[in-house]
Amino acid sequence: MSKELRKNTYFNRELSWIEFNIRVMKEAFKKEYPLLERFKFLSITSSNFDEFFMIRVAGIKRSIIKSMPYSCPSGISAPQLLSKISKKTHQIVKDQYDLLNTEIIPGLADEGVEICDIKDLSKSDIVYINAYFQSQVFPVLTPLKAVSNKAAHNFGNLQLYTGFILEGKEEQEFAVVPVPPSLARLCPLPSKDKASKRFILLGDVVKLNANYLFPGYKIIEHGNFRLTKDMDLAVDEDDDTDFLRAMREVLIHREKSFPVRLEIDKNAKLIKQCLSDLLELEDDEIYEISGLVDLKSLFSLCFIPGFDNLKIKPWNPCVPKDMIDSTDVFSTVQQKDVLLHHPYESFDPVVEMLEKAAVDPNVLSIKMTLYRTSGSKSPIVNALLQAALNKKQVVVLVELKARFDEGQNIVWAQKLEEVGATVIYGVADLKVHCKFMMIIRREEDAVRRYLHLGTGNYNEKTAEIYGDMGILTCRDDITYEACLFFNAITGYSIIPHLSYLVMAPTMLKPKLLDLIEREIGISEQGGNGHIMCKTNAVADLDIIKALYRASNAGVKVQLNVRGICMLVPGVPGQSENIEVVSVIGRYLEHTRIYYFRNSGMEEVFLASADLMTRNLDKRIELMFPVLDQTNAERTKEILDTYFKDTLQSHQLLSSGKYEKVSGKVALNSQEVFYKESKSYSKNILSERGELKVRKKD
Amino acid sequence: MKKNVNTLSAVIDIGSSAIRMLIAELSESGWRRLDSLEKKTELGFDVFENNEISRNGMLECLEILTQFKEILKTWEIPVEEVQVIGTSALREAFNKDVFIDRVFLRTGFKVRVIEGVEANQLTYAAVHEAMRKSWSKFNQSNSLVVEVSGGSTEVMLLHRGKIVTSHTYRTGTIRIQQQLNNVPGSVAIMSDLISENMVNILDNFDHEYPLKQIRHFVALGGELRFIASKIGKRIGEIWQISVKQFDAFFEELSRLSTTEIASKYRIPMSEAATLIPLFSVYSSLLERTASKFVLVPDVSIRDGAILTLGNKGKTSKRKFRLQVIASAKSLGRKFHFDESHASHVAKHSKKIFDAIKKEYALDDNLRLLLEISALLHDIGSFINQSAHHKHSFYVVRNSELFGLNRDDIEIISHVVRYHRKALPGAGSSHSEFNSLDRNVRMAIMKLAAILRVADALDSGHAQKLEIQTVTTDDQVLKIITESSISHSLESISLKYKCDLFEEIYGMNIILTAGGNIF
Repeated sequence: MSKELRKNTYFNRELSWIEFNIRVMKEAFKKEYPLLERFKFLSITSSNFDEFFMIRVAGIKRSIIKSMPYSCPSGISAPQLLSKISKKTHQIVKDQYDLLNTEIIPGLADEGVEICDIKDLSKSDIVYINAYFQSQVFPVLTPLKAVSNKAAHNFGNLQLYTGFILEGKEEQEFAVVPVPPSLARLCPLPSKDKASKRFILLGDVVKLNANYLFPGYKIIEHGNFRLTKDMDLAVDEDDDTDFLRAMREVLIHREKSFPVRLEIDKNAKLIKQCLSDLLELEDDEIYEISGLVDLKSLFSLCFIPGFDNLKIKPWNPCVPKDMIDSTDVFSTVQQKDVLLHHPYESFDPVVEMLEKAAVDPNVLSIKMTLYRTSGSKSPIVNALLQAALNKKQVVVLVELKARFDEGQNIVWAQKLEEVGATVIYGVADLKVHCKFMMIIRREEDAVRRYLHLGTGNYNEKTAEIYGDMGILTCRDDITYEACLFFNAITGYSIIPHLSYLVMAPTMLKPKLLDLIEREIGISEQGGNGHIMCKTNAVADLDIIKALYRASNAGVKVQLNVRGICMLVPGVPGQSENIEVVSVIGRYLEHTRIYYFRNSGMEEVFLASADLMTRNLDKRIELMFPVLDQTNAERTKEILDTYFKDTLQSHQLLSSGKYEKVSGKVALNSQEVFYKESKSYSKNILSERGELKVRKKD
Repeated sequence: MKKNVNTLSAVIDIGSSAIRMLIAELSESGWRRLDSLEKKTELGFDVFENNEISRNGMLECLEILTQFKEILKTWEIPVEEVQVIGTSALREAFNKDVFIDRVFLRTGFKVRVIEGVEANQLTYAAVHEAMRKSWSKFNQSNSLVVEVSGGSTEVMLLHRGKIVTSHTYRTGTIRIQQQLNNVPGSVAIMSDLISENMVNILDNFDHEYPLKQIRHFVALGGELRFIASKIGKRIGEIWQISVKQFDAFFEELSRLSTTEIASKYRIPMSEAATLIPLFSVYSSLLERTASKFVLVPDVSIRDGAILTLGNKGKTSKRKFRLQVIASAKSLGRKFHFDESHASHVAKHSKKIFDAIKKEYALDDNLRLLLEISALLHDIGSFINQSAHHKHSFYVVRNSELFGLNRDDIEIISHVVRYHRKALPGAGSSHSEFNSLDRNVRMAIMKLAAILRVADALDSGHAQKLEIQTVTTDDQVLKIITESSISHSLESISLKYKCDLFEEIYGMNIILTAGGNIF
């Protein structure tokens, strides 16, 4: 294949991801949003980059360090790619901080939320800060002088440090102080009036009192910096004698991995030189920041009390449409499959089901997978603990390999074990990513299995900000297969042959390819082949090739891909029938919907998997059909709505650039869903979210 | 919520290539599957090669059973209520008692090793149920039900839905693979080897029942269900594969290597390796029949076990009895028995049995064994009239009777043995009888006593005498016949053959016809 053609066949996945993050950042430029919402998008952009650098960029860098082959179907080499990523990221960071420093921070100050600079402080502020430093900050600081090479390599990943260049009696010294994560990054200052708030950065508090830390030294330069290190972990899965211990070792080892990015105050030139020498960093790995280093840790600013005019009006989750007349979630599910559309519709029915099950004497057992939860206070984990204490048989498959949640997962997994639950710590070589919950209940007429399958995690917190869908069902056909599936992934049985549920890694990819092939066949026979997908990423080459074939056969292919898309749309002879859009809004799009027209006998599926090789081949995932007719129609409508979005949607061009979608009718898909769910639940909830009760006056 | 009265039941089946468990709910209206599990074992490889379960094999089974126990907990099914059955591999293992004991100590499961016939009976129950629902023609013509497993091949012949005969052959995918390990070669050699193996079986079968008259070929087994789901058509609870499709698939399969089969159908290598021997066996049977389809019901022996459990004490008992009788008659015909005489004796035996069963606490199972004994008591005459009771004994003892287990066959063979001549336990030639358990010996004597009387009543083999009623009264068994013609031959015969009856039951027998005492 010629180089030209190759270029136009696939996009590079990292560069495609950067395009996604640009779209996120662009939201911050929208003047129609209130300031704190705009700040939030800047903060998310930074947070996204953190993960991108410690996993993806680290991976590419490792392949260079270890001379491992790197192959990208787009044809780009690893060094080329690193330099492109660096160039693009530097530009994005520049745009981000230009906006932050020229519009957002001054704008916030005008509105009464002021982040003060050291030079703007009054005498009384300094007195206040010094007192705060002595009582709260100083006791938790651990300054480190004469930073050695080894110490530098032990700097924590994403830990914010304040660096100092000190002048002592003999020579200059480089010292650092970690900014304690236990203290709030923004320290409140006395404000002039009640309507305004003033803050100073914790790092600045440290700087102002640096003479206490280094008595006898003169401070020549100071500045904040933060390192990003390789955090892509690999557990030796063959050594499964004690997987928990192996996992802990990985977590400790992580801190010692190589650096991939340095973010540093642009005024700290000497510190930059010291770090660059100690850590052997290339120039293009260093990002000079004008102003606030680490926007992620300033995320909390978005939630300061009051200042409603600076925030978007919250959309509270509503009672799900299918639950409106429900008094008991179990009996409702008995009547009909329940479709849940989060966060417009509340996640409560799922939590409620589990909480009820925990104390219901008729419940025999609970079987579930857990990937990411909201942590030690998670009502999901608590309900499971209670169920186990009540002698229910609780079988939980905990994915210890859920990135960055490993530490947390180990703690509550052990707690569950202590109270008698059966805990299975994942599956060797495969990450368990499916969202599965089953409650087995002995009822008057029969034993029923209540099943929840979803596209999002069992985390009631993220269920308020991620767009996800799920079903609750007790249909015999699906729940029987669900039992077999769970037996297999928990190691109790062989992998079953299933006809409703489709599991990865065994069947999902072949099934998707079959479904695409079927549409191709229909189009070739003169029918209307039509495929619609909503997913977070398209990066599997087999799937992309199949979709190209579909396009060439005349199948209409509509893809709504939030993030990475390696498929190149709109190329004649390759993909002219493929349309790719991406929706970025106040909620993170996370639902996976797969639709196949099938000559009018439409099939709609929901799934935990994206169209990425890692989902299809390296994870345990589930795709499940939306069998109930009204639910299937509703799911399709939701899917359709995304393609009609003219306010939050971008279209991917064959050049790899994303262009804002425009149209005569202004339509914000997320808003449509919100208004819809609100209109259903209007009758039972007042605006204040309280129930209207009847009682004697 | 009112308490649910349905029972949850589980069946575990320890087979030669896997241990499988089925969990089901039994209710008034029937039963439904709730959960099913399968874990592979190498039990068959152990046993068919070395005649015993290896240490590792045993540990592996214990591990699987322990895991299954955890799943049972999630359904709140107590271990002692689980039916655990062992089939061919366990049946043949020399150290099966050690295995059973260790399983019990480690897990609490009581393993019951079942005979081929009993396995067939369970399978039949499941097949019949599935076919009844989905294939109405099943009960109208002849069918062959075949299940090829690792260590055995079970074949049942059904006439209008009822079992005529059933056999268990010691050939299966694991055994074939082991044979092939000794003779490395191509697929063609394998097919030849298998056809050779099958020829004897098939000829034997043909002799008993012409295979060309078979209209429905029913095939069972997990692998076949999987393949059927790929190439077949679903009709209710069964898959239908046309013979053409079946042959084409087998043809294609023969051209692929094990690796290719595994990757094409996304199945494990071990499973892929069994597909060719499996299809060879099915194919060699299929081509002898007149069936246009291979029917694959979605059931297994485990469903049968659950079904049998659910039907306990219900209509199926009657059906089961009819099945066993049909199977006994089929055996009788094979040996050209005097069917009228046999049926007549059976009828009379039951009448006498019913008259005294209450007083002597005889149960329904014994009644069935008596009936079968009566039907088969003379089949040894095929070999030689002289000492035919002894011939009957070994013929019955070495036959398979559908629905009856080894213990039942043991009783029946002894009952026919003692339907004439010497009384049980008399003399040195009765060592087999004497070595039996006391309860078994008593059962044999009770039944033989009745059979001797009933046989005497048709000693002319002309069915002249017909019993009207049988009554008991003060140590006297009164047999009233309706015929007024002379029963001299029968009454003389009775005088000789009532000895055991009088001894066992302590009653005298009076034969009366229209008031005349003979």
